[in-house]
Amino acid sequence: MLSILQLIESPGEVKGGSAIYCDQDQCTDLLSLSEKQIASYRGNKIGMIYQQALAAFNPVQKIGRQLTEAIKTHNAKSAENKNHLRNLLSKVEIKNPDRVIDSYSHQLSGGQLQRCMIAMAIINSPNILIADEPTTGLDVITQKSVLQLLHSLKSKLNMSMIFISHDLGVIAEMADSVVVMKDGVIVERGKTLDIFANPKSNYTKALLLARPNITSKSKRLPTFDDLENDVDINSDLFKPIELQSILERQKVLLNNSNLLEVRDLSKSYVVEKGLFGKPSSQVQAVKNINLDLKCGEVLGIVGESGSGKSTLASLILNLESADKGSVSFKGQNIFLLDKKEMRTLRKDIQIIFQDVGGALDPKMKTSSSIDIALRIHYPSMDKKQRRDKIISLLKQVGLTEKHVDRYPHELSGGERQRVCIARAISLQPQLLVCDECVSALDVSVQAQILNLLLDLRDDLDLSMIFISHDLSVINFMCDRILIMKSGKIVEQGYPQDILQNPQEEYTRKLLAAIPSF
Amino acid sequence: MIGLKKIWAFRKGKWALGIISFFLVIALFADFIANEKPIYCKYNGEIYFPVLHEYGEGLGLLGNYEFLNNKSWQELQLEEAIFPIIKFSSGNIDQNSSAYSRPSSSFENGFQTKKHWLGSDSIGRDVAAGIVQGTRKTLSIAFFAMLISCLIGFVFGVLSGFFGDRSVRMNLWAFIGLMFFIILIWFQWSYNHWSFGLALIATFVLISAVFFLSPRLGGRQFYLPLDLIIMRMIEVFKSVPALFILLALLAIISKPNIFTLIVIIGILRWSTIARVLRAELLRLKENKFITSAKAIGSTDKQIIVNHLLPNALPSLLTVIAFGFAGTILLEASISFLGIGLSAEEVTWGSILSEARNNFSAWWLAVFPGAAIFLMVVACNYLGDTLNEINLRSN
Amino acid sequence: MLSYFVKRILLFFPSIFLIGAFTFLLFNATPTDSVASLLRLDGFEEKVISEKLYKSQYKKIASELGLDLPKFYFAFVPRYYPDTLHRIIDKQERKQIVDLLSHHNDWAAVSSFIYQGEVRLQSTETKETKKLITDLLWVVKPDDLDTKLISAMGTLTSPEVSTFLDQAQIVSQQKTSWFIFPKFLWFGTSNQYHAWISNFFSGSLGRSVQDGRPVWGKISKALGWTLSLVVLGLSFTILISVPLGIWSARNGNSRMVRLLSNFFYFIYAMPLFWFATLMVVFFTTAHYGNWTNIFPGVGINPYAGDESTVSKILANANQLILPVFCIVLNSIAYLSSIVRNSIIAESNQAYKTTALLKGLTEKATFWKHLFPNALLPLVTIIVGAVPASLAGSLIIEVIFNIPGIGRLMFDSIFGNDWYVIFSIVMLVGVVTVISYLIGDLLYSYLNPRIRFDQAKKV
Repeated sequence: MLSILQLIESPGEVKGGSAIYCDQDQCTDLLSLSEKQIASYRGNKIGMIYQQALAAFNPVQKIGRQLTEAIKTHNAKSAENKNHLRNLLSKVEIKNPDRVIDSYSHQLSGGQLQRCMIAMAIINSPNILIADEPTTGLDVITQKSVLQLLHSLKSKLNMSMIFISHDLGVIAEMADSVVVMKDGVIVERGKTLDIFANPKSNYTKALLLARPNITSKSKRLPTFDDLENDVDINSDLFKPIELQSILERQKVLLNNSNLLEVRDLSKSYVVEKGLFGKPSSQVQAVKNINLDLKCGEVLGIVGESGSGKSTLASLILNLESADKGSVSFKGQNIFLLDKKEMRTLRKDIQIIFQDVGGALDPKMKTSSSIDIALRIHYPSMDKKQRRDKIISLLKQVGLTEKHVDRYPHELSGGERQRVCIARAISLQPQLLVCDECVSALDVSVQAQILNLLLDLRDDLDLSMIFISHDLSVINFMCDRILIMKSGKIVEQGYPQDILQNPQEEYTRKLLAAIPSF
Repeated sequence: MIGLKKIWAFRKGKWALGIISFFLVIALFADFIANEKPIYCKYNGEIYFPVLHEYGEGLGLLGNYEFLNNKSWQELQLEEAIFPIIKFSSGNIDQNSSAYSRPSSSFENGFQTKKHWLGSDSIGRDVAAGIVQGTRKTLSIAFFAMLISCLIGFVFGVLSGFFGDRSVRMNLWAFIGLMFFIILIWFQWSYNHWSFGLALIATFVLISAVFFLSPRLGGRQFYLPLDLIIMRMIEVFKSVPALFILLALLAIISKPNIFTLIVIIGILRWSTIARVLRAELLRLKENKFITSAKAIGSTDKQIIVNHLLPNALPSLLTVIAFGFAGTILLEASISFLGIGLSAEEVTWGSILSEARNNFSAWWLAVFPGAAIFLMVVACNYLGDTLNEINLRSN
Repeated sequence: MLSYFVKRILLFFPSIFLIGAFTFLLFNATPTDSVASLLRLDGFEEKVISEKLYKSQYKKIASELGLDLPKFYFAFVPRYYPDTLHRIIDKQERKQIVDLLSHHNDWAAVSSFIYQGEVRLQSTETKETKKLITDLLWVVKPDDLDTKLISAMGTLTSPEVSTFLDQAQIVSQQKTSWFIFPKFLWFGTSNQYHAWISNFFSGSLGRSVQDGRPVWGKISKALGWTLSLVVLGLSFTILISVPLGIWSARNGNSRMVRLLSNFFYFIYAMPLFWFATLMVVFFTTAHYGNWTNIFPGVGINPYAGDESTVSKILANANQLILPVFCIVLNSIAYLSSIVRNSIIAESNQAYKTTALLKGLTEKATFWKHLFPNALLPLVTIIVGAVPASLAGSLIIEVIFNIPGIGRLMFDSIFGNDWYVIFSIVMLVGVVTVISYLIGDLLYSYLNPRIRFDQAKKV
């Protein structure tokens, strides 16, 4: 999309083609314009917003000045008018425009910055607004409000909008017609309703089907490969499971013994230090959490970023020390163990992370990443046995022998996550904590990993704590759900109850904010 | 580990490796390249290897040749001889040739013709021989000084970057007691009551006892702010004007030998390495693979050795390469000022400093300076290459 | 921000304290006796005048220099030590007492032994007796005292000596314990270290042992030359390298840029002292043809009378051309590449795209956003370059014979002029600490990311 506005950085190059912009009767090819000419289109007739709003603002200039600059560039005469800015900022639903005008970008929250960027893009009432993943990285509730804002601005200012997103739910909410792209090529195009109801290409189908549903639960998710290989996606495997069998499973689990008990767990971080190193302000990341996990159960923890769910995960693994409270694994308080006992216990509790790029040592081949884990906990195995074990583990997570000697940068995101899973299960843990482990993956890969995790749960008798911000993924994976907000548990229960009939205000808001199709 | 092959793949890397190995060869075989003695000779029908013999003398295994009779090799009529390319030793003052002979001027000396390839200095010492012998001194000073600063920098870097302010915990009273007794122990040493070894052993025993007991004591726990302390130390070292302190120190010592020079330079230059290692460890520690390693039960030592060091190595090597250049420059500057090694020790800097006394002897300015320059460029090239490799792999 | 400022300024004092302590420590390790050198300057040769006069003069000068004060604010000494050992100025005398004390841990016995000895030395007539007593008093190894005593007893039989001999008997017996308990002595501010620091900041740095002139006077005269070198060098460097950096950043891969940056790379790798020597050798004389005699020879023209430093500098302005040229050429490479990299780093930031999207032209984006932001880190670097250029100017001053701080340091080292040397080291240290402080404060003031605490969201 940057190419339309001639913003491709060298060595990239526009190879040909044209981008015609028609204003009333006049049509111009944007790509043939000189630098000066195109600059008069940018921000004036065509506005653009994108993700990472924090980086998009100059960090050493105040927001107000940067906004004014956008006006003055195209309207040299216009006087610096604070009222105008104030109106504009209230137009994008910023509550305290005066303070925002006088702030630097790092002082504002992600949502506020995104609004400021929208304000900057619409400041000269453009005819076209290009929105490139504008809500990626925002929380669901913020995303909802930003989307609503864009929607209303679109009709108010009579703009056309090009909305780019990987999230079909968002597209369904925003777009009138859709273009599906894969590897730089357009795969499919048409009216939104048509495409969602009746997708033609396998790729579009996979995009639609691979996303777990929030209202119903299936045994498996169909993936792009399934479609390519003509797997019957109408088989029972992919059909929603009957409520009856869900309830039965929950009943069985209820009678199992507790694997993990968390009592009164609290943790706070020092944000700022005073003059003499004494903490002057603290953030309570986790506040008095109590939870139980049954053997074989998958417990989902939902919350927005900053709700303390990742801190909870690292406390459960004793990777950080708690301020207060206890975590008991099979009746044993892990905070009371000494270093050596804890190291032995680590075998039983494993974790996989969201950050597939960072979770593997870039200097280590797949084999040695797993090998290290085996060497620590199975010192009796010799080199050959370990290698065989590694290969069988990789096969178990859907990789092949050729992945054994690869470095992380030679693997795709999905493959890396599989290696992480292989490493985690190599120790035959009883509890697997998945911390946003599919959030950074494409929908289709996400479906593959989720299928894999469910298979492993059944094959290895794993219990899981599944942490995610995505309710539909949680619904697919979990037997029970906890909803967290600012370090506290807001609501907990079975998915069918919480998702159909939320009790708390916050849960309701969260559910309403999910874009759906 | 960064292989030489990877460095060789870069144009700058090729130059760096080429120049450095060139100087390394010179340093290793200095005695065979520049020496007043023949490498091989036949005298009175006997075959001798005088240069090799010199090593034997140095080790005290062999005595001096008796037939020399305090004569120099030039005064003997040898039947056959292979001389080194440069027929001078660095310190050897040539009475026969005039001072300041121009490059490649040759003259008869006893039974042989000798050539000052790169000219000679004010008292007839050969410049080429000085550069060759100086290579060995410069390289060994730079190498061992960097080794010392690496060791110190490594320990402090790991302590502050990996352990930081919040991992070494101990009982507050145990800590205060420990400090008290350590001071007391070294007090005994400073007033000559205890020997150094005894004080060292006592300190060691005391520290291990406290670290063993402290977790069992409970009570009020206290985090040792290692990072804070080390950062302050680095800051103070950063604001020490290295050249001035070095000069003052050398003035006090007045006759420094190579060993003291190495120790002083090494101690003055550790802070950069510690700082880079600390920053690198802090950056790496944020990565999830470190958390994963903890989660699979790796010990601190395993995490440092298996994950942190291999990943921090490229940037560390880059700093070391640049630090090497800096050390060479520092050593050359003090020799140039005439405050470094004693005047008899010929180094690159000391030859260069003679150029100030006679502007017409251009060779005294050009050749030793070029040697310093080449070595510095090579180290910088190496640093650039390592940096480039590091950037590409990230 | 205020808390950061206060914190940063508070850190300044320990740094000064430590640098002061470090230089003071080195100062105390100096091998030559400055007092003796000063006495020689004043015309008191040890051999020429009577020993008594010499000693009293020595004492006078030493107490003027504060050498009879304790070293530091406090001390831990063994419990059997006297409280006022520091009053003994003579190093050998003090060592003798300390040696005796560690052989026989009793100050009362040792002091009366020494006192009796001194009394006997004053009163006895015969040379032989005097020599024997001195031998006992100044015994090299206290362990040998008993054997020496036995041999001396045979000769020294007079009753007057017997009290001394009794005392010597007592001291000759070893009296030590395996563990000594320390005692804490508090001296307050009348100590050498305190005097060292406060004299430094009040400008009374003592006298030079080379010519007897006050140290501060020598330093302040030299400072003018060094400052003019540093200021001229830095300002020309900035004036040239900032535009150069901008130009090379904006013309990314053109041949000219690559050529020039390669050229500067080599210039940068060239040791400053080599470059300067080459310039001096080739371009200040007519040895290599008349055309090479471009610059005036090294050194400062002789001047008459008590002109002020400023007018001397002005009179010798053409002498400064070549040194400044060397400094500038050497540092252009470094600074311009930093400017270039800083600009390139800024132009990879997303806010550049935003600015372009607003409709700003490339040029306007550069001057309004990239350039000011790229200059930010330069503030610290330029301020931090001041101490580094002091080191550079030392070598330049030596090569070009300019009577600046560096030259003064250089000459003082060869003259063992410790007061000058350590005053300069201290001065450079303080300048370094202050410039880092200024750099940090300026940077944090200019950069709102530090100025406003991130935790306080609107």
